[in-house]
Amino acid sequence: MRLTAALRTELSKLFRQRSTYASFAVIAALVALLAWGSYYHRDHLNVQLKMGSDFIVAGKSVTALFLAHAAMDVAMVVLMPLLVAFVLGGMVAGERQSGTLRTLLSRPVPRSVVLISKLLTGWTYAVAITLFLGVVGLGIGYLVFGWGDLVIFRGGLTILEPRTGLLRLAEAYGLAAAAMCAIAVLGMMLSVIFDNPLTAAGLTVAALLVSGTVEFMPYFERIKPYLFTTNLPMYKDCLRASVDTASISDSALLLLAYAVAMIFVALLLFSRRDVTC
Amino acid sequence: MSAETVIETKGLRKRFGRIRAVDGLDLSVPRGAIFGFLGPNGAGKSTTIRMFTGLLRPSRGEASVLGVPIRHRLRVGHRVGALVDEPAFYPHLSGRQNLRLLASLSGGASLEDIAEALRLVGLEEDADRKVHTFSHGMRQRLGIAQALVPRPELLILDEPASGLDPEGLTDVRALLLRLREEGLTVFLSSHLLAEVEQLCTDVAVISHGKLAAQGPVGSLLEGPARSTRLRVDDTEKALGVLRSMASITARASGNGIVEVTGAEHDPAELNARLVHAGVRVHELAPTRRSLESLYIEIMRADDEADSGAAH
Repeated sequence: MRLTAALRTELSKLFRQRSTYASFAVIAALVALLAWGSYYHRDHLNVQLKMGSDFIVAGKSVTALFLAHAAMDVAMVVLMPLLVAFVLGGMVAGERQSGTLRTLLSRPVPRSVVLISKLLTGWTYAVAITLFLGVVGLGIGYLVFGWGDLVIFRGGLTILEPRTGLLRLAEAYGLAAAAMCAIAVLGMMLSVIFDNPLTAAGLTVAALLVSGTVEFMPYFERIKPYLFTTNLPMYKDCLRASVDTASISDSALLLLAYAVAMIFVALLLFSRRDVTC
Repeated sequence: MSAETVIETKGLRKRFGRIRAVDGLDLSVPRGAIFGFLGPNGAGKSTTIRMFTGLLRPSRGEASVLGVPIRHRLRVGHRVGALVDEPAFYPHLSGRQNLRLLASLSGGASLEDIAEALRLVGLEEDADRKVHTFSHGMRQRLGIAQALVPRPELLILDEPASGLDPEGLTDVRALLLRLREEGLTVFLSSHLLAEVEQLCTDVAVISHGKLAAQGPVGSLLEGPARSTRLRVDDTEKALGVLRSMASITARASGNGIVEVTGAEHDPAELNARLVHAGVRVHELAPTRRSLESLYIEIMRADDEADSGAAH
Protein backbone atom coordinates (compact mmCIF):
# COMPACT_ATOMS: atom_id res chain seq x y z
CA MET A 1 0.00 0.00 0.00
CA ARG A 2 2.73 2.43 1.04
CA LEU A 3 4.89 1.36 -1.90
CA THR A 4 1.97 1.86 -4.28
CA ALA A 5 1.36 5.37 -2.92
CA ALA A 6 5.07 6.22 -3.03
CA LEU A 7 5.41 4.81 -6.54
CA ARG A 8 2.38 6.76 -7.74
CA THR A 9 3.92 9.88 -6.22
CA GLU A 10 7.25 9.32 -7.94
CA LEU A 11 5.72 8.51 -11.31
CA SER A 12 3.48 11.53 -11.05
CA LYS A 13 6.46 13.77 -10.29
CA LEU A 14 8.50 12.36 -13.17
CA PHE A 15 5.85 12.38 -15.84
CA ARG A 16 4.56 15.85 -14.95
CA GLN A 17 7.99 17.32 -15.62
CA ARG A 18 8.65 18.95 -18.97
CA SER A 19 12.27 17.79 -18.95
CA THR A 20 11.07 14.18 -19.04
CA TYR A 21 9.30 14.83 -22.33
CA ALA A 22 12.29 16.80 -23.58
CA SER A 23 14.32 13.59 -23.37
CA PHE A 24 11.72 11.79 -25.50
CA ALA A 25 11.90 14.66 -27.99
CA VAL A 26 15.70 14.34 -28.13
CA ILE A 27 15.38 10.63 -28.90
CA ALA A 28 12.82 11.30 -31.64
CA ALA A 29 15.10 13.99 -33.10
CA LEU A 30 18.04 11.56 -33.16
CA VAL A 31 15.99 8.94 -34.99
CA ALA A 32 14.70 11.54 -37.47
CA LEU A 33 18.29 12.64 -38.08
CA LEU A 34 19.35 9.04 -38.70
CA ALA A 35 16.40 8.55 -41.08
CA TRP A 36 17.31 11.71 -42.95
CA GLY A 37 20.94 10.62 -43.27
CA SER A 38 19.97 7.10 -44.31
CA TYR A 39 17.49 8.42 -46.87
CA TYR A 40 19.99 10.65 -48.63
CA HIS A 41 22.75 8.06 -48.48
CA ARG A 42 20.68 4.96 -49.15
CA ASP A 43 22.51 4.29 -52.41
CA HIS A 44 25.81 4.39 -50.61
CA LEU A 45 24.43 2.08 -47.91
CA ASN A 46 23.29 -0.37 -50.59
CA VAL A 47 26.74 -0.23 -52.19
CA GLN A 48 28.14 -1.42 -48.84
CA LEU A 49 26.27 -4.62 -49.38
CA LYS A 50 28.46 -5.56 -52.27
CA MET A 51 30.47 -8.43 -50.84
CA GLY A 52 33.25 -8.51 -53.36
CA SER A 53 32.73 -8.48 -57.09
CA ASP A 54 30.86 -11.76 -57.35
CA PHE A 55 28.34 -11.31 -54.47
CA ILE A 56 25.78 -8.57 -54.63
CA VAL A 57 22.64 -8.45 -52.50
CA ALA A 58 19.67 -7.34 -54.49
CA GLY A 59 16.77 -5.39 -52.96
CA LYS A 60 16.71 -2.66 -50.36
CA SER A 61 18.75 -2.92 -47.23
CA VAL A 62 17.50 0.28 -45.62
CA THR A 63 14.16 -0.59 -44.02
CA ALA A 64 12.14 0.18 -40.91
CA LEU A 65 13.96 -2.65 -39.11
CA PHE A 66 17.31 -1.30 -40.26
CA LEU A 67 16.53 2.15 -38.85
CA ALA A 68 15.31 0.74 -35.51
CA HIS A 69 18.50 -1.30 -35.27
CA ALA A 70 20.77 1.60 -36.30
CA ALA A 71 19.02 3.88 -33.78
CA MET A 72 19.72 1.39 -31.01
CA ASP A 73 23.36 1.02 -31.97
CA VAL A 74 23.85 4.78 -32.01
CA ALA A 75 21.75 5.80 -28.99
CA MET A 76 22.90 3.07 -26.60
CA VAL A 77 26.51 4.25 -26.67
CA VAL A 78 26.11 7.72 -25.09
CA LEU A 79 22.66 9.27 -25.37
CA MET A 80 20.57 6.71 -23.50
CA PRO A 81 23.03 6.19 -20.60
CA LEU A 82 23.32 9.98 -20.34
CA LEU A 83 19.55 10.47 -20.12
CA VAL A 84 19.16 7.70 -17.55
CA ALA A 85 22.12 9.06 -15.54
CA PHE A 86 20.63 12.56 -15.43
CA VAL A 87 17.15 11.46 -14.43
CA LEU A 88 18.33 8.98 -11.79
CA GLY A 89 21.10 11.29 -10.59
CA GLY A 90 18.48 13.90 -9.76
CA MET A 91 16.06 11.57 -8.04
CA VAL A 92 17.68 11.67 -4.61
CA ALA A 93 20.47 14.26 -4.90
CA GLY A 94 18.18 16.69 -6.75
CA GLU A 95 15.48 16.39 -4.13
CA ARG A 96 18.05 16.73 -1.38
CA GLN A 97 19.37 19.92 -2.99
CA SER A 98 15.92 21.45 -3.50
CA GLY A 99 14.76 20.52 0.01
CA THR A 100 11.86 18.34 -1.14
CA LEU A 101 13.57 15.23 0.25
CA ARG A 102 13.14 16.81 3.69
CA THR A 103 9.43 17.34 3.02
CA LEU A 104 9.10 13.79 1.70
CA LEU A 105 11.00 12.04 4.50
CA SER A 106 9.23 13.91 7.28
CA ARG A 107 6.13 11.98 6.16
CA PRO A 108 5.48 8.60 7.81
CA VAL A 109 6.90 6.50 5.02
CA PRO A 110 9.89 4.16 5.43
CA ARG A 111 12.99 5.39 3.65
CA SER A 112 13.44 2.01 1.97
CA VAL A 113 9.97 2.44 0.42
CA VAL A 114 10.89 5.91 -0.83
CA LEU A 115 14.12 4.65 -2.41
CA ILE A 116 12.54 1.56 -3.97
CA SER A 117 9.72 3.66 -5.42
CA LYS A 118 12.31 6.01 -6.90
CA LEU A 119 14.23 3.08 -8.34
CA LEU A 120 11.08 1.54 -9.84
CA THR A 121 10.26 4.93 -11.35
CA GLY A 122 13.78 5.15 -12.73
CA TRP A 123 13.40 1.69 -14.24
CA THR A 124 10.05 2.71 -15.74
CA TYR A 125 11.76 5.69 -17.33
CA ALA A 126 14.70 3.59 -18.59
CA VAL A 127 12.34 1.02 -20.14
CA ALA A 128 10.06 3.74 -21.53
CA ILE A 129 12.81 5.63 -23.36
CA THR A 130 14.33 2.40 -24.71
CA LEU A 131 10.99 1.18 -26.04
CA PHE A 132 10.23 4.65 -27.35
CA LEU A 133 13.49 4.56 -29.29
CA GLY A 134 12.45 1.27 -30.87
CA VAL A 135 8.90 2.35 -31.66
CA VAL A 136 10.02 5.68 -33.14
CA GLY A 137 12.75 3.89 -35.13
CA LEU A 138 10.23 1.46 -36.57
CA GLY A 139 7.60 4.16 -37.14
CA ILE A 140 9.81 6.69 -38.88
CA GLY A 141 11.62 3.85 -40.71
CA TYR A 142 8.33 2.48 -42.00
CA LEU A 143 7.13 5.91 -43.16
CA VAL A 144 10.40 6.72 -44.93
CA PHE A 145 11.74 3.36 -46.12
CA GLY A 146 8.87 0.90 -45.83
CA TRP A 147 8.96 -2.68 -44.56
CA GLY A 148 11.64 -5.24 -45.43
CA ASP A 149 14.40 -7.53 -44.18
CA LEU A 150 16.71 -6.73 -41.31
CA VAL A 151 20.26 -6.55 -42.65
CA ILE A 152 22.98 -6.67 -40.02
CA PHE A 153 26.75 -6.32 -40.37
CA ARG A 154 28.20 -7.87 -37.26
CA GLY A 155 30.96 -10.42 -37.73
CA GLY A 156 29.77 -10.84 -41.27
CA LEU A 157 26.51 -10.23 -43.05
CA THR A 158 23.23 -11.45 -41.57
CA ILE A 159 19.95 -11.05 -43.38
CA LEU A 160 16.82 -11.83 -41.39
CA GLU A 161 13.45 -11.98 -43.03
CA PRO A 162 11.02 -9.33 -41.64
CA ARG A 163 9.15 -11.49 -39.12
CA THR A 164 12.33 -13.00 -37.61
CA GLY A 165 14.05 -9.61 -37.79
CA LEU A 166 11.25 -7.96 -35.85
CA LEU A 167 11.29 -10.68 -33.20
CA ARG A 168 15.08 -10.44 -32.78
CA LEU A 169 14.88 -6.68 -32.61
CA ALA A 170 12.18 -6.91 -29.92
CA GLU A 171 14.44 -9.24 -27.90
CA ALA A 172 17.39 -6.91 -28.41
CA TYR A 173 15.39 -3.91 -27.23
CA GLY A 174 14.25 -5.88 -24.18
CA LEU A 175 17.87 -6.62 -23.28
CA ALA A 176 18.87 -3.02 -23.97
CA ALA A 177 16.14 -1.90 -21.58
CA ALA A 178 17.53 -4.26 -18.94
CA ALA A 179 21.00 -2.79 -19.49
CA MET A 180 19.58 0.71 -19.05
CA CYS A 181 17.97 -0.46 -15.79
CA ALA A 182 21.42 -1.56 -14.58
CA ILE A 183 22.76 1.92 -15.41
CA ALA A 184 19.76 3.36 -13.54
CA VAL A 185 20.82 1.48 -10.39
CA LEU A 186 24.34 2.90 -10.69
CA GLY A 187 22.87 6.40 -11.09
CA MET A 188 20.59 5.90 -8.09
CA MET A 189 23.42 4.69 -5.86
CA LEU A 190 25.58 7.71 -6.75
CA SER A 191 22.56 9.97 -6.25
CA VAL A 192 22.25 8.65 -2.69
CA ILE A 193 25.97 9.22 -2.04
CA PHE A 194 26.37 12.72 -3.51
CA ASP A 195 24.41 15.87 -2.66
CA ASN A 196 24.66 17.48 -6.08
CA PRO A 197 22.56 15.92 -8.88
CA LEU A 198 25.04 17.00 -11.55
CA THR A 199 27.87 15.33 -9.64
CA ALA A 200 25.82 12.14 -9.35
CA ALA A 201 24.90 12.15 -13.05
CA GLY A 202 28.39 13.14 -14.15
CA LEU A 203 29.99 10.42 -12.05
CA THR A 204 27.58 7.83 -13.47
CA VAL A 205 28.71 8.70 -16.98
CA ALA A 206 32.34 8.91 -15.84
CA ALA A 207 32.11 5.43 -14.24
CA LEU A 208 30.81 4.05 -17.53
CA LEU A 209 33.57 5.78 -19.48
CA VAL A 210 36.30 4.53 -17.12
CA SER A 211 34.94 0.98 -17.23
CA GLY A 212 34.67 1.26 -21.03
CA THR A 213 38.25 2.48 -21.27
CA VAL A 214 39.57 -0.28 -19.01
CA GLU A 215 37.79 -2.74 -21.26
CA PHE A 216 40.09 -1.83 -24.13
CA MET A 217 43.34 -1.94 -22.15
CA PRO A 218 45.26 -5.14 -22.72
CA TYR A 219 46.49 -5.19 -19.07
CA PHE A 220 42.97 -5.80 -17.87
CA GLU A 221 42.18 -8.66 -20.23
CA ARG A 222 41.47 -11.02 -17.33
CA ILE A 223 38.88 -8.84 -15.68
CA LYS A 224 37.31 -7.67 -18.92
CA PRO A 225 34.51 -10.29 -18.93
CA TYR A 226 33.42 -9.11 -15.47
CA LEU A 227 33.36 -5.40 -16.17
CA PHE A 228 30.04 -3.56 -16.04
CA THR A 229 30.40 -2.04 -19.49
CA THR A 230 31.53 -5.29 -21.15
CA ASN A 231 28.16 -6.79 -20.35
CA LEU A 232 25.89 -3.83 -21.08
CA PRO A 233 25.73 -4.40 -24.88
CA MET A 234 24.36 -7.92 -24.38
CA TYR A 235 21.54 -7.02 -26.78
CA LYS A 236 24.01 -7.34 -29.64
CA ASP A 237 24.09 -11.11 -29.10
CA CYS A 238 20.49 -11.23 -30.36
CA LEU A 239 21.43 -9.64 -33.62
CA ARG A 240 23.67 -12.35 -35.05
CA ALA A 241 22.97 -15.25 -37.36
CA SER A 242 22.13 -17.31 -34.31
CA VAL A 243 21.30 -15.95 -30.86
CA ASP A 244 24.15 -16.46 -28.36
CA THR A 245 21.97 -17.48 -25.40
CA ALA A 246 24.87 -18.50 -23.16
CA SER A 247 26.61 -15.16 -23.56
CA ILE A 248 23.35 -13.28 -22.95
CA SER A 249 22.55 -15.19 -19.76
CA ASP A 250 26.13 -14.71 -18.46
CA SER A 251 25.92 -10.97 -19.06
CA ALA A 252 22.42 -10.71 -17.60
CA LEU A 253 23.46 -12.57 -14.44
CA LEU A 254 26.51 -10.41 -13.99
CA LEU A 255 24.53 -7.20 -14.44
CA LEU A 256 21.96 -8.53 -11.99
CA ALA A 257 24.72 -9.17 -9.44
CA TYR A 258 26.04 -5.64 -9.92
CA ALA A 259 22.50 -4.25 -9.56
CA VAL A 260 21.76 -6.21 -6.36
CA ALA A 261 25.04 -5.06 -4.78
CA MET A 262 24.42 -1.43 -5.73
CA ILE A 263 20.81 -1.51 -4.50
CA PHE A 264 22.02 -2.94 -1.18
CA VAL A 265 24.61 -0.15 -0.79
CA ALA A 266 22.07 2.52 -1.79
CA LEU A 267 19.45 1.21 0.67
CA LEU A 268 21.98 1.00 3.48
CA LEU A 269 23.23 4.54 2.95
CA PHE A 270 19.81 6.07 2.33
CA SER A 271 18.30 4.49 5.44
CA ARG A 272 21.07 5.72 7.71
CA ARG A 273 21.98 9.07 6.27
CA ASP A 274 21.01 12.24 8.13
CA VAL A 275 18.96 14.76 6.15
CA THR A 276 20.66 18.03 7.00
CA CYS A 277 19.64 20.22 4.07
CA MET B 1 6.06 9.53 29.76
CA SER B 2 2.62 10.45 31.03
CA ALA B 3 -0.49 10.39 28.86
CA GLU B 4 -0.55 14.15 29.14
CA THR B 5 2.86 14.52 27.52
CA VAL B 6 3.12 14.38 23.73
CA ILE B 7 6.86 14.94 23.33
CA GLU B 8 9.45 13.92 25.86
CA THR B 9 13.23 13.82 25.60
CA LYS B 10 15.80 12.63 28.09
CA GLY B 11 19.46 13.48 27.61
CA LEU B 12 18.90 13.87 23.87
CA ARG B 13 22.15 14.47 22.01
CA LYS B 14 23.16 15.06 18.43
CA ARG B 15 26.73 15.50 17.32
CA PHE B 16 28.01 16.48 13.90
CA GLY B 17 31.65 15.47 14.09
CA ARG B 18 33.05 17.49 16.99
CA ILE B 19 30.12 19.87 17.16
CA ARG B 20 27.46 19.18 19.78
CA ALA B 21 24.33 20.57 18.15
CA VAL B 22 22.04 19.21 20.86
CA ASP B 23 23.63 18.40 24.17
CA GLY B 24 21.59 16.47 26.71
CA LEU B 25 18.19 18.02 26.13
CA ASP B 26 15.38 17.20 28.57
CA LEU B 27 12.11 18.44 27.19
CA SER B 28 8.50 17.79 28.10
CA VAL B 29 5.65 19.05 25.94
CA PRO B 30 2.21 18.80 27.54
CA ARG B 31 -0.80 17.69 25.50
CA GLY B 32 -3.00 20.54 24.31
CA ALA B 33 -0.27 23.16 24.61
CA ILE B 34 1.02 25.64 22.11
CA PHE B 35 4.65 25.09 22.96
CA GLY B 36 7.20 27.70 21.92
CA PHE B 37 10.72 26.45 21.36
CA LEU B 38 13.08 29.41 21.55
CA GLY B 39 16.75 29.96 21.11
CA PRO B 40 19.27 31.91 19.09
CA ASN B 41 20.47 30.79 15.66
CA GLY B 42 22.54 27.63 15.96
CA ALA B 43 21.13 26.78 19.40
CA GLY B 44 19.87 23.40 18.19
CA LYS B 45 16.18 24.10 17.56
CA SER B 46 16.02 22.81 13.98
CA THR B 47 18.27 19.86 14.84
CA THR B 48 15.87 18.88 17.62
CA ILE B 49 12.87 19.20 15.30
CA ARG B 50 14.65 17.13 12.64
CA MET B 51 15.19 14.39 15.23
CA PHE B 52 11.48 14.44 16.13
CA THR B 53 10.57 14.09 12.46
CA GLY B 54 13.03 11.30 11.70
CA LEU B 55 15.31 13.34 9.46
CA LEU B 56 18.23 13.03 11.88
CA ARG B 57 19.22 10.12 14.09
CA PRO B 58 20.04 11.07 17.68
CA SER B 59 23.61 10.36 18.75
CA ARG B 60 22.50 9.53 22.30
CA GLY B 61 19.58 9.89 24.65
CA GLU B 62 15.91 9.18 24.31
CA ALA B 63 13.03 10.94 22.66
CA SER B 64 9.45 9.94 22.23
CA VAL B 65 6.62 11.47 20.24
CA LEU B 66 3.01 10.60 21.15
CA GLY B 67 4.38 7.95 23.48
CA VAL B 68 6.45 6.16 20.85
CA PRO B 69 10.27 6.26 20.73
CA ILE B 70 11.34 8.23 17.66
CA ARG B 71 13.13 5.23 16.17
CA HIS B 72 9.62 3.78 15.75
CA ARG B 73 8.06 7.11 14.75
CA LEU B 74 6.41 5.62 11.65
CA ARG B 75 3.86 3.98 13.97
CA VAL B 76 2.47 7.39 14.90
CA GLY B 77 3.66 9.38 11.89
CA HIS B 78 0.16 9.78 10.48
CA ARG B 79 -0.82 11.54 13.72
CA VAL B 80 1.97 14.11 13.41
CA GLY B 81 2.11 17.00 10.93
CA ALA B 82 5.39 18.79 10.43
CA LEU B 83 6.89 21.77 8.70
CA VAL B 84 10.66 21.52 8.90
CA ASP B 85 12.77 24.51 7.97
CA GLU B 86 11.92 26.36 4.72
CA PRO B 87 8.96 24.70 3.04
CA ALA B 88 10.06 22.91 -0.13
CA PHE B 89 7.63 21.71 -2.81
CA TYR B 90 7.66 20.44 -6.37
CA PRO B 91 7.64 23.70 -8.33
CA HIS B 92 6.14 22.23 -11.52
CA LEU B 93 3.07 21.00 -9.61
CA SER B 94 0.23 23.11 -8.24
CA GLY B 95 -0.27 23.70 -4.54
CA ARG B 96 -3.16 21.25 -4.49
CA GLN B 97 -1.22 18.58 -6.41
CA ASN B 98 1.68 18.92 -3.98
CA LEU B 99 -0.68 18.43 -1.06
CA ARG B 100 -2.29 15.38 -2.66
CA LEU B 101 1.10 13.78 -3.33
CA LEU B 102 2.35 14.38 0.19
CA ALA B 103 -0.90 13.33 1.83
CA SER B 104 -0.86 10.05 -0.10
CA LEU B 105 2.37 9.17 1.73
CA SER B 106 0.60 9.60 5.06
CA GLY B 107 -2.20 7.22 4.17
CA GLY B 108 -4.10 9.66 1.95
CA ALA B 109 -6.52 12.47 2.52
CA SER B 110 -9.86 13.24 0.90
CA LEU B 111 -10.18 16.11 -1.55
CA GLU B 112 -12.34 17.82 1.07
CA ASP B 113 -9.58 17.52 3.69
CA ILE B 114 -7.10 19.06 1.27
CA ALA B 115 -9.50 21.85 0.34
CA GLU B 116 -10.12 22.49 4.05
CA ALA B 117 -6.38 22.72 4.79
CA LEU B 118 -5.94 25.15 1.89
CA ARG B 119 -8.88 27.19 3.13
CA LEU B 120 -7.51 27.31 6.68
CA VAL B 121 -4.27 28.89 5.45
CA GLY B 122 -6.05 31.20 3.00
CA LEU B 123 -4.78 29.57 -0.18
CA GLU B 124 -8.02 28.21 -1.62
CA GLU B 125 -8.00 30.68 -4.53
CA ASP B 126 -4.37 30.09 -5.49
CA ALA B 127 -4.30 26.34 -4.87
CA ASP B 128 -4.29 25.42 -8.54
CA ARG B 129 -1.40 27.67 -9.47
CA LYS B 130 2.01 26.09 -9.99
CA VAL B 131 4.12 26.42 -6.86
CA HIS B 132 6.96 28.14 -8.74
CA THR B 133 4.65 31.15 -9.08
CA PHE B 134 4.05 31.34 -5.30
CA SER B 135 5.57 34.08 -3.13
CA HIS B 136 7.64 33.16 -0.08
CA GLY B 137 4.68 33.84 2.20
CA MET B 138 2.39 31.65 0.09
CA ARG B 139 4.88 28.79 0.24
CA GLN B 140 5.01 29.23 4.00
CA ARG B 141 1.21 28.95 4.15
CA LEU B 142 1.32 25.90 1.90
CA GLY B 143 3.93 24.43 4.24
CA ILE B 144 1.51 24.79 7.14
CA ALA B 145 -1.31 23.35 5.00
CA GLN B 146 0.71 20.23 4.13
CA ALA B 147 1.34 19.68 7.83
CA LEU B 148 -2.42 19.73 8.39
CA VAL B 149 -3.25 16.84 6.02
CA PRO B 150 -4.20 14.29 7.10
CA ARG B 151 -5.48 15.98 10.26
CA PRO B 152 -2.75 15.49 12.92
CA GLU B 153 -2.86 15.38 16.72
CA LEU B 154 0.50 17.04 17.01
CA LEU B 155 1.74 19.84 14.79
CA ILE B 156 5.51 20.49 14.69
CA LEU B 157 6.33 23.80 13.01
CA ASP B 158 9.83 25.16 12.48
CA GLU B 159 9.65 28.94 12.21
CA PRO B 160 6.10 28.99 10.81
CA ALA B 161 5.99 32.79 10.80
CA SER B 162 9.07 33.16 8.62
CA GLY B 163 8.37 35.34 5.61
CA LEU B 164 4.80 36.17 6.57
CA ASP B 165 3.49 39.73 6.39
CA PRO B 166 1.66 41.21 9.43
CA GLU B 167 -1.70 40.02 8.06
CA GLY B 168 -0.28 36.55 7.51
CA LEU B 169 1.11 36.52 11.06
CA THR B 170 -2.30 37.39 12.46
CA ASP B 171 -3.94 34.68 10.34
CA VAL B 172 -1.45 32.04 11.47
CA ARG B 173 -1.86 33.06 15.10
CA ALA B 174 -5.63 32.78 14.82
CA LEU B 175 -5.30 29.43 13.04
CA LEU B 176 -3.02 27.95 15.70
CA LEU B 177 -5.29 29.13 18.50
CA ARG B 178 -8.25 27.58 16.72
CA LEU B 179 -6.41 24.31 16.21
CA ARG B 180 -5.53 24.25 19.88
CA GLU B 181 -9.18 24.75 20.78
CA GLU B 182 -9.91 21.71 18.60
CA GLY B 183 -7.50 19.65 20.70
CA LEU B 184 -4.26 19.81 18.70
CA THR B 185 -0.92 20.24 20.40
CA VAL B 186 1.36 22.68 18.59
CA PHE B 187 5.13 22.64 18.96
CA LEU B 188 6.74 25.60 17.24
CA SER B 189 10.13 27.18 17.06
CA SER B 190 10.29 30.92 16.54
CA HIS B 191 12.41 34.02 16.81
CA LEU B 192 9.41 36.29 17.28
CA LEU B 193 9.29 36.56 21.06
CA ALA B 194 6.32 38.92 21.25
CA GLU B 195 4.39 36.55 18.96
CA VAL B 196 5.31 33.54 21.11
CA GLU B 197 4.32 35.38 24.30
CA GLN B 198 0.88 36.13 22.84
CA LEU B 199 0.37 32.68 21.39
CA CYS B 200 2.12 30.06 23.49
CA THR B 201 0.95 28.46 26.68
CA ASP B 202 4.36 26.91 27.39
CA VAL B 203 7.89 27.66 26.30
CA ALA B 204 11.35 26.17 26.42
CA VAL B 205 14.51 28.15 25.79
CA ILE B 206 17.50 26.32 24.38
CA SER B 207 21.04 27.65 24.21
CA HIS B 208 24.15 25.89 22.92
CA GLY B 209 22.09 22.71 22.58
CA LYS B 210 21.07 22.70 26.24
CA LEU B 211 17.79 23.53 27.90
CA ALA B 212 18.02 26.91 29.63
CA ALA B 213 14.42 27.29 30.83
CA GLN B 214 11.12 25.51 30.44
CA GLY B 215 7.60 25.88 31.74
CA PRO B 216 4.21 27.54 31.33
CA VAL B 217 4.57 31.10 30.06
CA GLY B 218 2.58 32.44 33.01
CA SER B 219 4.82 30.91 35.66
CA LEU B 220 8.04 31.82 33.85
CA LEU B 221 7.03 35.44 33.61
CA GLU B 222 5.44 35.80 37.02
CA GLY B 223 7.41 37.40 39.81
CA PRO B 224 7.90 40.84 41.22
CA ALA B 225 7.04 43.85 39.11
CA ARG B 226 9.98 45.42 37.33
CA SER B 227 8.39 48.85 37.04
CA THR B 228 5.17 50.50 38.14
CA ARG B 229 3.44 53.49 36.62
CA LEU B 230 1.39 55.65 38.99
CA ARG B 231 -0.89 58.64 38.44
CA VAL B 232 -1.19 60.74 41.57
CA ASP B 233 -2.69 64.09 42.62
CA ASP B 234 0.57 65.43 44.15
CA THR B 235 3.71 64.43 42.29
CA GLU B 236 6.22 66.17 44.59
CA LYS B 237 4.74 64.61 47.71
CA ALA B 238 4.62 61.20 46.07
CA LEU B 239 8.26 61.42 44.97
CA GLY B 240 9.24 62.30 48.52
CA VAL B 241 7.47 59.24 49.91
CA LEU B 242 8.78 56.87 47.23
CA ARG B 243 12.38 58.07 47.38
CA SER B 244 12.42 57.32 51.10
CA MET B 245 11.92 53.65 50.25
CA ALA B 246 15.02 51.51 49.79
CA SER B 247 16.11 49.97 46.45
CA ILE B 248 13.66 51.77 44.21
CA THR B 249 13.99 54.74 41.91
CA ALA B 250 11.10 57.13 41.31
CA ARG B 251 10.85 59.89 38.71
CA ALA B 252 8.09 62.19 37.54
CA SER B 253 7.19 62.16 33.86
CA GLY B 254 4.55 64.89 33.73
CA ASN B 255 0.76 65.03 34.06
CA GLY B 256 0.86 63.52 37.54
CA ILE B 257 2.65 60.39 36.31
CA VAL B 258 5.36 58.80 38.42
CA GLU B 259 7.47 55.89 37.16
CA VAL B 260 8.88 53.57 39.80
CA THR B 261 11.65 51.11 38.93
CA GLY B 262 13.62 48.74 41.08
CA ALA B 263 14.76 45.15 41.22
CA GLU B 264 11.91 44.06 43.44
CA HIS B 265 8.99 46.09 44.67
CA ASP B 266 5.44 45.37 45.60
CA PRO B 267 2.90 47.71 43.89
CA ALA B 268 0.46 47.18 46.78
CA GLU B 269 3.11 48.36 49.22
CA LEU B 270 3.70 51.50 47.11
CA ASN B 271 0.00 52.23 47.10
CA ALA B 272 -0.32 51.77 50.87
CA ARG B 273 2.61 54.07 51.62
CA LEU B 274 1.30 56.82 49.34
CA VAL B 275 -2.23 56.66 50.69
CA HIS B 276 -0.88 56.65 54.24
CA ALA B 277 1.04 59.83 53.42
CA GLY B 278 -2.14 61.43 52.08
CA VAL B 279 -1.37 61.09 48.37
CA ARG B 280 -4.37 60.11 46.25
CA VAL B 281 -3.52 57.39 43.75
CA HIS B 282 -5.72 57.53 40.61
CA GLU B 283 -3.96 54.84 38.62
CA LEU B 284 -1.45 52.06 39.37
CA ALA B 285 -0.07 49.87 36.59
CA PRO B 286 2.65 47.35 37.41
CA THR B 287 4.64 46.12 34.41
CA ARG B 288 5.56 42.45 34.55
CA ARG B 289 8.62 41.08 32.79
CA SER B 290 8.15 40.14 29.18
CA LEU B 291 9.27 36.99 27.41
CA GLU B 292 11.80 39.13 25.60
CA SER B 293 13.36 40.34 28.86
CA LEU B 294 13.36 36.79 30.24
CA TYR B 295 14.98 35.52 27.06
CA ILE B 296 17.67 38.20 27.14
CA GLU B 297 18.37 37.46 30.82
CA ILE B 298 18.76 33.77 30.04
CA MET B 299 21.05 34.43 27.09
CA ARG B 300 23.19 36.84 29.10
CA ALA B 301 23.47 34.40 31.98
CA ASP B 302 24.40 31.66 29.54
CA ASP B 303 27.07 33.82 27.89
CA GLU B 304 28.49 34.76 31.31
CA ALA B 305 28.57 31.09 32.34
CA ASP B 306 30.35 30.28 29.09
CA SER B 307 32.95 33.01 29.46
CA GLY B 308 33.43 31.99 33.12
CA ALA B 309 34.01 28.40 32.07
CA ALA B 310 36.47 29.58 29.40
CA HIS B 311 38.54 31.42 32.03
